[in-house]
Amino acid sequence: MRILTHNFMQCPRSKSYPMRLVPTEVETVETEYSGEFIEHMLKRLNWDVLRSTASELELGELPETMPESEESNPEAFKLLHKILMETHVKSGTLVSGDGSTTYQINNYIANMMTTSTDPSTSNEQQKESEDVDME
Amino acid sequence: MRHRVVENKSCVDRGSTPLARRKFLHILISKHSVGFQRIKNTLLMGTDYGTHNQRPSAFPVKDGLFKQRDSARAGTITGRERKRIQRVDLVGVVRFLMMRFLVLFRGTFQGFRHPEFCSLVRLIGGLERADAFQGLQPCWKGEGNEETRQHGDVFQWVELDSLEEARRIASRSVLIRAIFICWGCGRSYQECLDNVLETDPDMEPLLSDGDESFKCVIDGFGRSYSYDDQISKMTFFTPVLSKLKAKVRLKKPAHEIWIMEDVFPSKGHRHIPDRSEQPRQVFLGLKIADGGHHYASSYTLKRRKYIGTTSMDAELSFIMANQAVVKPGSVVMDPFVGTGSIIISAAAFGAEVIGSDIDMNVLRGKEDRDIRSNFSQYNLNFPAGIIRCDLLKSPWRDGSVSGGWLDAILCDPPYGIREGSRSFNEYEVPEELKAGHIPQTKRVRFSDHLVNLLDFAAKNLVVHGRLVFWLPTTPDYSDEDVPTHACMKLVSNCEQVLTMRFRRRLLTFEKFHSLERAELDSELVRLTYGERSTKSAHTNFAATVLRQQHRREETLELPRRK
Ligand SMILES: C[S@@+](CC[C@H](N)C(=O)[O-])C[C@H]1O[C@@H](n2cnc3c(N)ncnc32)[C@H](O)[C@@H]1O
Repeated sequence: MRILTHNFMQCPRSKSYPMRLVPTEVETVETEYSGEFIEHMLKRLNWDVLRSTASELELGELPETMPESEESNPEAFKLLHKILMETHVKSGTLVSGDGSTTYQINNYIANMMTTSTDPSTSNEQQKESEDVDME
Repeated sequence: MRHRVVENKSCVDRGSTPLARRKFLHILISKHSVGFQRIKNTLLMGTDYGTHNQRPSAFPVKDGLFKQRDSARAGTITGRERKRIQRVDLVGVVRFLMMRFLVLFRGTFQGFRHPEFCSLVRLIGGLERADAFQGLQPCWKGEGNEETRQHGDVFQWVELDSLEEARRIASRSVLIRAIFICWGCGRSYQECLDNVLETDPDMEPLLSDGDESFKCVIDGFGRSYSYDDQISKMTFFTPVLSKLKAKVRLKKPAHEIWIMEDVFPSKGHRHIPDRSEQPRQVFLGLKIADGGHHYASSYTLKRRKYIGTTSMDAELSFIMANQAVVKPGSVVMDPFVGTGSIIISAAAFGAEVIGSDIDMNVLRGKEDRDIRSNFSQYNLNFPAGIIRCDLLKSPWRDGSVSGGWLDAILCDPPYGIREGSRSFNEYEVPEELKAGHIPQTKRVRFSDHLVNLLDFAAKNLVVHGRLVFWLPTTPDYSDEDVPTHACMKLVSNCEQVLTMRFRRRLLTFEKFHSLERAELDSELVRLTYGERSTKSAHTNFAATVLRQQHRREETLELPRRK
């Protein structure tokens, strides 16, 4: 899961936003830079949440106010690219704003079920869905 | 018999050949010192440009215009009417400046051709261009029933702004084989040849003897020819081809001239026409663009490492991404992502993708094969998020992002044939049991997914963002089965017949105004769909198609909705 996605997520149970992202394993995957993409995402992102997440994860300090354009602050754009596009959370947890629920991230997959599960035992659910599976 | 020739001639009058059009444009620009863009703007602004008497003699004249101009001459019109007439003439000017192309489609998914093409016009040219787009015109205007027409419909006329536009549309379309500048056409070889000679199309750049090279391709829709047959068909066009100075080169020629036939088998559309049968349409054209079918073949499920029973065919996934006008940098979500087959196509077009599903096993995959490994297989950037969640209890900040945040939503919702529609039961689990707890799921009515999906789309899409999904149905389908939402406009609805009892429809919705605006009118925001869901063809879809009574949805309790 990338930080980009985190910015749009809320706790499905308490509806609190944002959730605290506590990664235990983070990977950086280099991707081609596109200033255009960052610019068009900026309008949709919650800047304060992004800024505090970036600083909590020690990814870098973003300016207090959202940069207007690439020309006005090219460094911030480069940093945004690294934060939004290149940082992948492989494992960790997402904690709802009120601290009531913890969701696991394992193998890049965030498990947002409203009841927590042990990933190793969900085979039984598979059986249940095979009952439905016709082919 | 004259029908086709006459029609093609009138298209030449309107300047279908690049030369005539260039000439006309030249006159227009030099005499009136205006650019094409200005003519277009004039048209859009509704004010008039130029005067009638300065119009070049080749001015396009449509039937309706004749009458109006006659009445103008007779002096029976008012000032306001005159203004309108001048506007109509400008429509003529712009249409005249449009180039007419011949589009050759592949034989599959007929119903999807027009919607895909329109979506691509929108993708390349934007909203305004899409509004002005006149649509495809089938070349086959002859008699015949539905089947004979469908067969001939692989050939379509289209008017576009430029070669560039045609090329860009073709390169994204998985249904187009190629686009041509048509040099001539007719109902037989002779008619086609006569038509080419009579209209004398612009054959640049093949007329100069520089480095240009070309080859001839014979294409019979639905049949192939022996070498001798091909040679004799080419020699038939010697009067035309002999004018060309460019070299003939069979390997990697710079240009291809296609001789295309539409032979409708006399035994019916399911048969292959036999060799003696005569074509009912013949076209000669210069190919200017290839279609994008390579997307479907290079992403075929046959060679994909991680697939499941519900994986979407690559070709259809690309059609879905085209329907959704996905472009580089679009943010695209599949809330029923399964093995990720639909988001692959969006990612291949450069989108940032997010997928979610309720089933952890399908997301996790098998051994080293999963959604991510598919993305690596195709060298695509990894998804921005793979989330396990129940769409009915969504973890997305829906609505609170003003104006939405997704450019498109693509999906194949669960309808209980292969994958059940289900949702988690919500209940408290004591803390000490949580670690090993397996949450209970329950079956959910399909219509609840539909209502929820439209609602989800209305909340999360940006304005003009699109929702594209499959609606499973039966032959009992009626248009009333299509769900409605105050913010969402149905753009297209095409059927794919799978078996006698099982069909599905690809529905494309566009969010046409913001949720806030719709909420002003709370009457409108009401989902009209859920109330009558028991009558629609897809209710009890699984029960009907599988003939299993225990799958009937009436037994399911109505979900609580806030
Ligand atoms: C028809 S399949 C789509 C498969 C997908 N196109 C693919 O590439 O494999 C429907 C999917 O929806 C999932 N599903 C069922 N109920 C759901 C729910 N309430 N929320 C989210 N996903 C659900 C199923 O697990 C299944 O994978």
